[in-house]
This record gives sequence, C-alpha cells and structure tokens, in this order.
Amino acid sequence: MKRRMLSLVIVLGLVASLALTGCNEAKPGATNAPTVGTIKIAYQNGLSYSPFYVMQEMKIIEKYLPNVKVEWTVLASGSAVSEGLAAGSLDIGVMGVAPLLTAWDKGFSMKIFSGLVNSPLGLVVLDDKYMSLKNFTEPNKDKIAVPAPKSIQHILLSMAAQKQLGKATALDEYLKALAHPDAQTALLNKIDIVAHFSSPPFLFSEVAKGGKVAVDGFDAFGGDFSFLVSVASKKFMDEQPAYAGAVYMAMSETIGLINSKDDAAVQVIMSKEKLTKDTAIKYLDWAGTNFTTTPYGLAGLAKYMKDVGYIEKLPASYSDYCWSTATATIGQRAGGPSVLEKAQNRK
Amino acid sequence: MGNVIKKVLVLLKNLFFKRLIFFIGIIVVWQVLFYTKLYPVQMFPSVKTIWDSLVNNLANGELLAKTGFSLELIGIGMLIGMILSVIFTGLAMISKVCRNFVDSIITIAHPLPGIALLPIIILWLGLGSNAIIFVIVHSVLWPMLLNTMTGFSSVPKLYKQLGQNIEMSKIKLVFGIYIPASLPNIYAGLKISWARAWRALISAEMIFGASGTSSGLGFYISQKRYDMDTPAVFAALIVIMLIGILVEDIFFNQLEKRTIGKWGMVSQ
Repeated sequence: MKRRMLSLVIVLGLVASLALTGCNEAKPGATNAPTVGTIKIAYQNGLSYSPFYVMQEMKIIEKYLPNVKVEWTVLASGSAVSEGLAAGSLDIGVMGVAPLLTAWDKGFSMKIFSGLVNSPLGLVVLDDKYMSLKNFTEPNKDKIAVPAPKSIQHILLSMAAQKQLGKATALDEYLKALAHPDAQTALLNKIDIVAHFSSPPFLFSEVAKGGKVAVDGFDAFGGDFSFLVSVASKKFMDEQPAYAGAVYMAMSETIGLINSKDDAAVQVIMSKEKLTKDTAIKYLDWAGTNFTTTPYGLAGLAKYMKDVGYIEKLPASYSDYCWSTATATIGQRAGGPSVLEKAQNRK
Repeated sequence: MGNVIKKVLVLLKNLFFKRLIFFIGIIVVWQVLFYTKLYPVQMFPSVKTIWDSLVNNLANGELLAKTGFSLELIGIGMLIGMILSVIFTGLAMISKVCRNFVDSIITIAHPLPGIALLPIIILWLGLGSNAIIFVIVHSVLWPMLLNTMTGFSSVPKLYKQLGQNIEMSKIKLVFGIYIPASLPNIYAGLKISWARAWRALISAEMIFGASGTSSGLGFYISQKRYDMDTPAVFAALIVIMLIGILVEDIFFNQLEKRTIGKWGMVSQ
C-alpha cells in the first residue's frame, strides 16, 4: 500500500513538474524507452465518465504498460463511439447498454468490455402536478425532454408508462429530443418542456435548483442497471490481448480509487467537473451511484428492447455481446442463478 | 405551350444523360469499394442495401413525411427572409443612413453561423419549429439582401434617369426599373439563399431534435445514425440531393428561362 502511494506521489510529481516546465523537457523515466504501440480510447464529457478521465490524468494505464502510448479522445456523442470502434479508429470506448445492443443487433464487431457505472436517472419536474404520469394530458404542452428516441432515458420512461399508464408508448407523443444541457436550460427556465428525463450531473443540479424526481430510473427498470459500460472492438481484443488486460487492470484500480474517494482522484474530478470538494463528494455519494466493472441489468434491457422491437433478435448468451472480462464478473452459478446473475434481469 | 414542353424535355434529356453517366460512375466506384471490404459493411453498405432502404422508407411514408415537414419549414423561412430583404432593401433605397445601417448589419450578421446562435435562440424562441425557422431566416436574409442591394446599385444610371424623365414615382421606379434590372442578382441571391437555408435546416434539425411525432429530414438522419441504420442515413442523403437537383433544374432554371432568359438579360 505504501509503495503504491509512493509511486502515485511520484507519478503526480512528474505530471506536475511536466506541467510546470512545459512539455519540451526530456520525458522522465520509463517513457524514454521506445514506444511499441498505441491504445486508442474515447470517452464523453460528464461525471459518469470519471473513471476514464481519472485514468488518463493519473496515467494509470501507463503504470501497467510503460512503453505504450495511450491516445485519448473526448467525443461529443455515443454514436461517434460505435462508429469509431467499428471503423477501427478506436480500441475502447464508453457507451450505453442500449446502443451497444443495437450495435450487436446490426452486426458491429464490438462487445462489452466491462461495466462502468450504475447511475441514478430520473424524470425531473418542477411542478408538483407532474409528479404523476397520469397528469400528462396535453401532448403539445406537457413536453418531456429525452436525449434521443430509443435512448435509455426514453426506454425508462416507457417502462414507467407501462407500469403507471398500462401502455409503454403512452407518452411517446409528449417527447422532445434534446441534449441534456439544452434540456436543463429549458426545464429550469420553463421553456416549452415540463419534464426532463435526466442523468448525472444534470439530474443533481436540477434537483439542487428545485426539481423533483417524478420517476426514479431504478424503480422504472425494476432493479439496478448499468448506465454506461466500456466497449472494446474485436480487432483490439484479438490483436492486443495484453493491452486489453492492462486496461482492465487500470480500470479496476481507477474505480477502486474513485470509490474510496482517493484524494488525487477526487481532485481530478473536481477540476474536470468544476465542482467544490463538498459537491463532488455529494455527487459521488448520490444514492444509487455505483462505479463497478460488473455490468447490471443486461438481460432485462435486451429482453425489453426485443419486446418493443428496438432490436430484431435476442442474444442467446452474455458472450454474444460481452467479452470474457465482463461475462466472468457475472459468473454462472450451477443449480440456479446467483445474485449477480439475477441482477441482470428486471424484477 | 407544346413548344415549351418540348424544349424542356430536350433540356432535361441532355442534362439527364450527363448526370446519369456521372451517377453510374459513382455507383460503380461505390460498389467496387464495397467489394474490397476496406470498410466495415455496417458503415459502408452496398448499393443494393441503400436502394432497398430508400425504397422501403419511401414506401412506408416515413421519408416523405419527414421531407414534407422540412420543406414546409424551409418554405416559411424563405418567405419571411424574402419579405424582410425586400423591406430592408427598400429602407436602404430611401435613405443613406438606413443604407449604412443595413450594410453594417450584413457585415456583422452574414458570417455568423445560425447554429452558433442556437443556445440563445432556444432561450428567446423556445424549442419549437419557430427556432428552426429563425435559423433559416438568418441564413436566407443576408445573402438575399447582399445580392439585391448589389443588383440595385449596379443598375445603370441611364435607366434611372430615363425613369425620372418620364416622371415615374419612387415606388414605380423600384418596381418598374430597379427590380427588373437587378433580377439576375436577385436570382443569384435566391439560389444561394436556398442552398444556405437547406443546409441550415438540416444541421439545426440534427442538433435540435424532434417534437413528438413531427420532425424533419435532419432529425431523421441523426435518429438513423443513433439506430446505427447506415443505409437509411444514405437514403436520406439521396433524398436531400434529389431535392437539390429538382429545385435547381426545374424551379430555378425554368424561372430564369421564362424571365431574364427570355428578356435577353443573361447569356444562355
């Protein structure tokens, strides 16, 4: 443990000295050795992607692979991730489970590499009237913002509509496709929408500004589910198994650091998200948040997407769309499903 | 009348054949690239899958409905843009102060991408079609205005003096001399505006999304991308190109032929 702390301090010290002296200085230590390969990783902006940017800032992959160059890209949309993975311009990216299942259904050669985070999603409203879905009565006035049709937010809303109104598509004509930042602005300024199916950190700031959660994502789903998973391309897994192993180790270590509120990791999150320490800790400790490499709710979501026709076929087993790094964490209990196997289904 | 139809047919045939050869070339290159498997099939679909997707999405009415929605927005936006540019040009004709003012606005507003204004437009106009129409008007107004004013200022002095000699009123002068004399510029403005409006519309829709069940071609593209349905994305692109060709060839060319072409104002 002491050694780990020490090496961490050294790494941070080096990063700091590099930052101070500029990048023209000779590169320290191990990176002097010739670079033998690259790993191309992409993530998007937002607190839920923190394991990726913490891993980047703290150079945790480089700890396991000193001579490998890691190329980081910040992308604006999940669609770009699947395109990059399919085109071979990315090795590892972050996606929602729903788009990953769509990609699998369409025959894209990529699978879930690991779970990343379970997040509290929710339908945020300002007016108490809309706490019940039954009170959404005017499709042209009572607009609900979701990032995109068929997104996890839309799926959760449909699941809630199924439970409360008896019909999954009951609220479809109330939808307004809107990116989270625009939806947040619109909701808080009471422009055209009355509800936003939100995710962190937007959910947190909307609640802080008077929003109330009318539908809880986990309630709608019936259990926990992975909000984001990491996804690796087939090419990467086939050609660079050692790199894949190192990334998996680095990801596990990073998630451990975040979950234990390691100072350096929290500092990275604070500066990326522009949060005070208190707020950062509050967000990380928000009920339902769970950074973990184990995926949740996979089978339940796949079944739902098949039922409503978002995907054409149902996966026969987890290995259809998960690499062994992911299937191994779910496990396979003889004589009936284990807790984690049950956690893949909806209650 | 029969003569006109005949002429149109000859023109179309000629253009049609040139374009046909060009398109066949593209299709062949595309299919060859597809067979090389240089790109994943999911991202570089075969000509047949794209064609099937186009036919299916046209047959089930989805693409037509989206196209209709987009065209409606663009129609409204262009009309407002044209009316505004007539008003602004009129103002600029009346007084020098107004003219300086209009010149300044054009300089400031013309290079500004409508999409960059979206966050503010959302706050001002909300999230409905109005916001998209605003973006279209913004992309139509300035090129239209610029061209009309250039046209007006390049009307030969002689024409103006002629009008004044026969004691035409200011309004008559504008409609009887300035507008007809600057028609080539106005048409150029219209063409540029149309292309800009079309681009602005598609990009605004891609960012802006849809409301309930009503949405246009731009949103259709981003939704199909989200669904990883690449053939449908290409199908929508083909529709966009077809509309471009139709508007250019049929609408603008005919408009020109029947007015400034007939009057000998452009060399054919």
